[in-house]
Amino acid sequence: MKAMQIAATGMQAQQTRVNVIANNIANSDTTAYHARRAEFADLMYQQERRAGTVSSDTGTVLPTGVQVGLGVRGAAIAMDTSQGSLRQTTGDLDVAIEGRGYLEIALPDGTAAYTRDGALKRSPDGVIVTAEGYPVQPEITIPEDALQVSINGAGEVWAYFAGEAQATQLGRFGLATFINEKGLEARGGNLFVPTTASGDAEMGDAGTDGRGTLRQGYLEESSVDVVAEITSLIEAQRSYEMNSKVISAVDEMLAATNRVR
Amino acid sequence: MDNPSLALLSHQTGLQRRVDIVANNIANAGTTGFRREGLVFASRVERLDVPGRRFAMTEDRMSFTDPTAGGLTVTGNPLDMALDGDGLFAVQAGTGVAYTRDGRFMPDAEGRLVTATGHPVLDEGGAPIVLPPGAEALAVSADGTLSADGEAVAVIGRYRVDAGARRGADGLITTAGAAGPAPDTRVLGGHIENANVNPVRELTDLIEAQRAYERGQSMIEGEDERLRRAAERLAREP
Repeated sequence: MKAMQIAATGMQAQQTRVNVIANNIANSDTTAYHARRAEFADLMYQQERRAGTVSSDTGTVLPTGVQVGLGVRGAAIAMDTSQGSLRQTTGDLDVAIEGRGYLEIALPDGTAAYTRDGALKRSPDGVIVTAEGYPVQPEITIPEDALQVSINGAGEVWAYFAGEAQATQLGRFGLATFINEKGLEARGGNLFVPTTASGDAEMGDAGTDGRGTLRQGYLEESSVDVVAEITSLIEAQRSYEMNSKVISAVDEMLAATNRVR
Repeated sequence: MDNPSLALLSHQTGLQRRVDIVANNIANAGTTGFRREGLVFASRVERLDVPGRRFAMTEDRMSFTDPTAGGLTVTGNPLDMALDGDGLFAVQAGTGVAYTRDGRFMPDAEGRLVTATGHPVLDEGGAPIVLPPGAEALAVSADGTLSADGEAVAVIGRYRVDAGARRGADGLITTAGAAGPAPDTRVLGGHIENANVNPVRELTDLIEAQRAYERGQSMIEGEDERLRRAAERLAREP
């Protein structure tokens, strides 16, 4: 009987769903984390009796035949790219991205990665880096004697120095957009790398061509809705139980078959 | 085998298939746009060439897709679309045009609108839909018009397939016959259609099939016992 294997695919699907939910809940306080959602699609169908065959006794054509689906499979784990709410912080290097876009950072191996986590810091030599120490591109160095750093919505970084009335522009952050940001590959550490599904990064100034703006002194909170996650956790659990009921029912049917002499 | 055993055997085989279908419905209770399948049984009685003898069996004649609409989940993402009506979305599959009610769409790297399984979505004229680069405010109206930043981009195709359609690989619906437009089917942006599986009903069906199967097995045992006794009695008679 196929039903056992079919129910097994159902249980596996729900396990995947629980894993995704667990990861969402675990990251409900991670800066700029976007909730993921496991999505499913039905597996292929086996045509037990082809549609359109002529039934022998009366010569009528079967309109649909008998098709048995073979279960369910994970189609995608989609990222919810909606904006998380902004939380005010006191850090002058905390920047939240309001709208679309990612900051570009340079990994030690020279490749680029992208993040929305704007909890930026200064490295020992004054370079603006992420919390994990990767320099934000284009690299901007804050001189040691800068009194105050200000980052405006367009991504321009300005510094004030003692005895100078005018601020000096140190550089300008760009934002990267992707034609399909759901296709980005998550690397952990709030980092993403482009894939063939996401398309290449298109760098540009903040606030232009649909890119978001930067907001200094704020961080983007994770977009995880904990109540919704718990609800789907319960749903997944019940769904798992239902699939296991199918397995025990089939088991009993097979036991009945085995009893026949 | 004798006629009662044969009839019972066909009954048991049909029930197994019913359980397979119930299992698939339950496994897909969380699959967007999934529609539950059912099975139609029919009795089949045929007169044989031997006078007074008949051949009888039950037959699972056809499976059908339950056309009841599933509930809607609000996602807020304008590219998630549900259909209100009996129409289907058309997608470009490897072998040709296929149909689905699963409206979780997204742009791919070339900007084409594709399904969660990567098949390009087709417009009313049967052409793939390409989103303008950098489009920010995407919206879809009830008549299927997809607009970006207030300008119409394409009209999402809605099609109606004939009764001979079947579900193939990837759960997509294909038809050897004709598919016509279904302009009266409304498109709901920001929604996805849930599976129309009712868990209580499926579990009831499952238990019912299981008990009927057990009843069938005990009838087969009874029939076996009857034949055994008949044989013993006949052997004892002088």
